Amino acid sequence: MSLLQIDNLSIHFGGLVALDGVSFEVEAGTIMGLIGPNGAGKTTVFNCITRVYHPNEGSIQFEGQELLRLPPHEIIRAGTARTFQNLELFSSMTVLENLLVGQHSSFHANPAEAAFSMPRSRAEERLGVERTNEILNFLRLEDYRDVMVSGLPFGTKKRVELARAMVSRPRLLLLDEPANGLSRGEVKVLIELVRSLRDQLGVTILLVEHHMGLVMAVSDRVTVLNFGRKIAEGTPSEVQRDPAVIEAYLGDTGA
Amino acid sequence: MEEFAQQVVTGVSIGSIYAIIALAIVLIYRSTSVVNFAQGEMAMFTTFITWSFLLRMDFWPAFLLTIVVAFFIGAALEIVVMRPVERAPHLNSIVVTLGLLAIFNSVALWRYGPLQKPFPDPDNWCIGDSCLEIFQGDAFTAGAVTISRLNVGILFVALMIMVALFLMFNYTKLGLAMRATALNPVASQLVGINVSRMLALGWGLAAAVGAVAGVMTASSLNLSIDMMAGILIFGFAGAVLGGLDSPGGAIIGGLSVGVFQVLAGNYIDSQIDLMAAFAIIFIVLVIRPTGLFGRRLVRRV
Repeated sequence: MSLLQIDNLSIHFGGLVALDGVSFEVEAGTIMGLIGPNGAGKTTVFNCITRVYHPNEGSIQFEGQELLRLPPHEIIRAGTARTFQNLELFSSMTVLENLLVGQHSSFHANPAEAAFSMPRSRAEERLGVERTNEILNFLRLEDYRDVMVSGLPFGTKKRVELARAMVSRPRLLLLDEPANGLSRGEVKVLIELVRSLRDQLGVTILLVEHHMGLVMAVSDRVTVLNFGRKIAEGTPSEVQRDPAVIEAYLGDTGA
Repeated sequence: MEEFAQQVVTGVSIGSIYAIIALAIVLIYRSTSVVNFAQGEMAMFTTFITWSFLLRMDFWPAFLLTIVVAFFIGAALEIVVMRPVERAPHLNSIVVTLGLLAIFNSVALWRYGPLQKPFPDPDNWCIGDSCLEIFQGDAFTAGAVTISRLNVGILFVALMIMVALFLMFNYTKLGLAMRATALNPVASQLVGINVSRMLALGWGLAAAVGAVAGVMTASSLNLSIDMMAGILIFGFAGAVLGGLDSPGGAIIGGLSVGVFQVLAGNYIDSQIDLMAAFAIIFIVLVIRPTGLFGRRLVRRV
């Protein structure tokens, strides 16, 4: 049984077919790359998994649970978290506050329990602080803890968003173009970071990315979409040799 | 000089009611970007509810019960009336609030009639025999400046609301979730916040805060159908002055509008106070569109 199993996923917006019967699986403990030319439907897959969009057809099973039956705010409780292509942070909050909001789903004590610092609230608070510090250290954000997010450089903001996703202890992490806007040096660091997220924090990763160097370096398997359809799947080297993939990226060569 | 000081004190005490209603407007605006034009009429309506409670119980129990009832009315309005137009352009929502204004006004007229109703001053706060005498008793005086106990009480209530909201927004999980929802609904949903519930809570809180403004207004004037009409305009001016998304700004804005109104009424002409409110809205929107404490939105394009 795969950790994430997407079956026959289809969604159209009016006459535009954004996804057309897409199916693939992600095994626990692996990194899956999801690539394709612009408009291929990669981010749409993410938006279906996190329930921003509701697909017309298909199913998304996570650990055997049907995600499409959950309301959007319950998705994170199921054990998935994501980042966004264009950063969706709480910009007039500090880094720490962003991480606290990120743990919203892990706190169960009600306001009264919190106000009187009852045992459940205290235990959760201790766990929350531990996790926050662990993630801040892991992503080298300790120095920015009390800094307002809006003033941080772009690359740091991307790490804050990653940290916010990680504090909820997800088992599946969806990364939407993590290399977008980063310098060459930063991408090198990112490659190590993505690997260590899997190896040290044990999270399974589904990665949408245009930066081929990154995708090919970290992915165990790669799924390729074009015009809303899956055209190839395999290991990075298999995919790179696939004629359908080459055609999708380079256009019909007439050969 | 003493006359001026007296004018300022009077302005602050009038302004404290504007500040409360401005706060209610801001609570809804910052989480939904909708200006609730029905805020004043909702406050008037809930004050009539207080009045019917007062026939059966003392002032403070009636007051607290009203706040609870108002909270549920506000939350219900968001769920039943505002939610269906949530995804439409904001203009639709604003038109709906204008409809609510008309509805509350007519229902109040139908149920309670056009006549003014006498409304008692709030009782002093007593625990056993010791009382905090800030609502009833002789006016406070300092030199030639006087301020009535009732006005001190209203100012005190406004400050208490502000402190309570400040603590809630900054030190509770619920407050953090509400701030997050106001800043970024998409990301909030993703981290597991029930955004719809937060919006309903926001409306409930605003209605509860508005209810306080209504009761305080009725205490200082009398209870009538049209008592909140002018106050909504001044409260709105205060909210715009403070920056529509800043609760602290709403308080300062509301107080400033009160002072400005009294000074203009005294030193220019007593008939121009309403015009003064519009002048403030106009000048602020021209010179500093985000208000004194509003946050400037910069979008990457």
